[in-house]
Parts: sequence; structure tokens; C-alpha cells
Amino acid sequence: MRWINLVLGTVLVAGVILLGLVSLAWTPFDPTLVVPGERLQPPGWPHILGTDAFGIDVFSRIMAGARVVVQVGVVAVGLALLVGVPLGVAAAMSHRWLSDLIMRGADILYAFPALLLAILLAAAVGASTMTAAVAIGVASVPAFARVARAATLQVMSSDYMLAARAAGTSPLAAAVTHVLPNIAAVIWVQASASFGMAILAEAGLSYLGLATPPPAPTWGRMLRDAQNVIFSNPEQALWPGLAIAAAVLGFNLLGDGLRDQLDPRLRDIS
Amino acid sequence: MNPASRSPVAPVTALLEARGVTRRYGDGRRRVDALRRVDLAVPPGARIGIVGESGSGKSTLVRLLAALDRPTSGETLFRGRRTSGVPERGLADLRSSVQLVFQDPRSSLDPRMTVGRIVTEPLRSRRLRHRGDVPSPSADRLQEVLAGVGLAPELAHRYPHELSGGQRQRVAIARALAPDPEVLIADEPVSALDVAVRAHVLNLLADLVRARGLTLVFVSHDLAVVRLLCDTVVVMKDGVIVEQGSMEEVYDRPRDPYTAALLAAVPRLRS
Repeated sequence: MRWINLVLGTVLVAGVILLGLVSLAWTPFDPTLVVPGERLQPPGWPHILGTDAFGIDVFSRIMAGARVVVQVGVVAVGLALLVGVPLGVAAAMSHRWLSDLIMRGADILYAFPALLLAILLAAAVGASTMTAAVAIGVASVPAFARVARAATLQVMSSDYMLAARAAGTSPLAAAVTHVLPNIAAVIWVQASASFGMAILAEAGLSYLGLATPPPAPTWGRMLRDAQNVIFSNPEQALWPGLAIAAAVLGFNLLGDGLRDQLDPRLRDIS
Repeated sequence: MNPASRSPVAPVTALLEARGVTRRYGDGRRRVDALRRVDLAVPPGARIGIVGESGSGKSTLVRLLAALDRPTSGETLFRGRRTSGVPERGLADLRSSVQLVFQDPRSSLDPRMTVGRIVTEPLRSRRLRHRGDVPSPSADRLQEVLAGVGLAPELAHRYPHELSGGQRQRVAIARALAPDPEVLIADEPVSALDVAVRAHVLNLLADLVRARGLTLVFVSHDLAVVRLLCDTVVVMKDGVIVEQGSMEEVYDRPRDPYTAALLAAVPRLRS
């Protein structure tokens, strides 16, 4: 039973990544090729998920959209991890005033609407996949800092940190050898959940036209295009919606599965 | 130099010393003085037992002596040099000479480190290596230290949760002894262990202290355990030292009523 989350999560996540990778080299049809004569075809052959209101092959668009999803997730979560985790660990390990400074900074960032940040970035440098990813990443920093700080505080209260000091281990070395391994499980869960959230956020931003500009296909834009034909052809919204749901679910399940596997105390109890 | 012949009041510079230390936790109405103007000197070679009920301040006192906590007022010294209020980098001499064994090995051993990495942690520290004769973190040294506490070499690749309680505390003792310290501070080292393995761990500690000529500071709430290991006893209550003296003195002629009450609570074995 304990493996089901991990296996299902891995399969879904691997599916998304694989679709994205394959799309770099090959898609059944050009995901941007408009064919007015083949509009809104039902699923079948050769268009296995049919075509959309522009006559573009839906499956090809889903594949190309997966690429954007992975790109945004990696950049956003990577940014949040690299900035948020060191800040959170430092806050937990440092003096009161520095800790307060870091966490109040995180609170201010947290209070700042992420959507506004995305709009600002898009307005300043033009909407692109990167601006969306950076906006999502920056908005996720406080969550990582908080999770890392809370987990680090717990580690700090254990006697092995006291023993490390008695053994002459420097705070930086202790952070690397004791704190990071002991908070890794919590951080991976957060990263995986954030990856799912980043996918949703990117879909939302491209739905609003604040992320990847056309003609590049994304799942959010597909939803937007489906909106015009939602009553006559609801399946147009179903495909990108399913893709988003599967990807988000996959990352969340992977996070839970990782948490179970990364904890050596839980690992041997079956 | 027979340690037994040494008097606890010998006129030598104390290895560890506390001078008028007070440690206060919290503030305002919830203020608690865990220690109140405590003086204690640990001469080289002494085997001092600190006894008292829980909350009497004995753990706080040894943590201050080991410079793992700061006194609210007063000062702590190592070899006559001040250690309170000194930044960590100024404590290399103390760190390389004073090692600790904590009460609960489930908390004092990092669950994500193998036994081998745990035991060699002090040997990998640059700060500890400041003392010239700290052994290098070699596989040979690891095996030597593990053997010294009666652990099989193959346990080096295990994680703490894969060991028994007694084995875990042996790992903690091995870590403390790996850098060849002069002073061993043991804070209730058998209280978290099953009664059945307590005697083994205590005997091991007694043997190691004797064989290596270690100065010992041993914290316990159990007078019988202290009597087994120590030559001097310090009795604490409510953050102050109420009595201190040689084991026989305190045992046979307790001056303080609290000590008498503690002694009366020790179950005696008929011989």
C-alpha cells in the first residue's frame, strides 16, 4: 500500500516529462499549424484527441504544452528552493533579530499578491514563460522559507545538534550534515506540492495571457480557446483540464510517496 | 598518580569551574532560575557525581560547564580561562578536551547518519583538530573506538534506529571518546535505557574512566549509580548546591536534611 502513492505519482510525473521531451523532437502534427478545413473534429484517427476550433491537433498541443509545464515547474520550484530553504535554515539557526528580519521579509513577500507580481513582471519585460516561472518562484519563496525554518527549529532542539557543537562542528557544517538531511523529506514534499501549484498557476497565467505568448501552445491557453466553444464542444476543455489535473495530482502523490520513502525510521516499518 | 588518593579540594587549577553562575529562563512572571549563584570546581582526575531531583538544575549546570549554554550571570572557566561569553571559535581547547554523553541516544544521535559518521564527527571537525594529538578520522580509528565500547565493526554502516537502546548509548560513548578527551560529562546516561542494559553501560563507563584516567562529571538522580562511579558527590536542589564532599563523607554523615532524605530513598541491598 505504501508504494502506491510513489508509483502512481512517478508514473504521472514521468508521463508529463516524457510527453514534454518527446515533443521537442516529434509531435504527430505541428502543434501550431492551423487547418481551417479540419476544425473541431472528434477524437479518432489520425487526430487521436481530435482537433480544436482552429483545426490544430489537440494531442500535439497537449504534448507541446507539457514542455512548458516542466519548464515552468523546474524554474519556479528551483528558484523557490534555492532562495527559500537557505533563508529558512538561516533564520532558524541565527540570532533572534536576524531571524525576525528574514521572516518578516518573507511575510511581506507572502502578503504581496502573486498575480500582481506576474502582471508587473509581464508589463515590465513582456509576458513569457520565464516571467511567469520567475513570478511563481518568487511567490513560492516564503512558503519554502517557513517550512524550512519550522523543520530546522525542530532539528535545532535535538541533542544531536548540541552534540555537534560539542564535537566542534561549525554552524555551516552542521547545517549541511545535520539540518539539510533531516529536513529534506519535508522540503521534498513541499517542492513536489509547489510543482503542482506552479503548474496550476502557469495555466491560470497563460489563460489570462500573462505567460507564454501565442502561438506557443500551453494547457492554460487551450482552456481559454476552449471557452469559446464550451457549450458545443465541452471535450475541448476536458483534454487540457485532464492534463492539468493529472500533472498536479502526479506531483502531489510523488511528494507524499517521497516523504514516506525518505524517512529511514518509517521505511523499515511495514 | 592514583586518582583515589586525590582529595577533591587539592590545590590544583580546576579543569572546569563555575563561579557564581545563575541561569535564568523566561522573563517576567514566568521567570525561573534554574541555577542560583552556583560555585563548583572540577579538579583534574576527579570523578564528580551531581545528584538531585529533576528540575534541580544539574543538567543546566553541566551544559554551562561545557559552554553549550550561557550563564545569565557569573562565569565558567576551563583550565582557568573564561569560557562564558566567548565565541565558539575561542573554545577550541575546551571542545577538544571535554566531551559529552547525553541522556537519550534517540535524540543525541542524528537519525540520518550512519554509526561510522556519527562516531567520527568530532574527528572531522577542524576546530577540534586544533589540538595536535586528536586522532585522524580513519577507518582504523573508527574500528578501534567501536571495539573500545564493545560494538562490532559492521555496525559502522547501520543507522541508529537499527540498533538497540544499549547499543545506541555505546555509540554515543564512542563518539565522546573518539577524540581522546580529558573530561567526560555524562548527563543521566542510563536513565533512558532498559533496566537490564543499565548495568552493562555503567560498567563500561566505569572501565573506560578508569582505563583512560578520565575526569568525570556524572549527572544522575540515582545515588546508587553515582556511588558506583564517583569519588565526590555534589547534591543539588532548586538550583543551588546543598552539599558536596567525598562519597564516604556524604554517604555516611549527610549534613543536609535533603541529602539525608535522598539517601533514605535509595533501596539498600542486604549483603
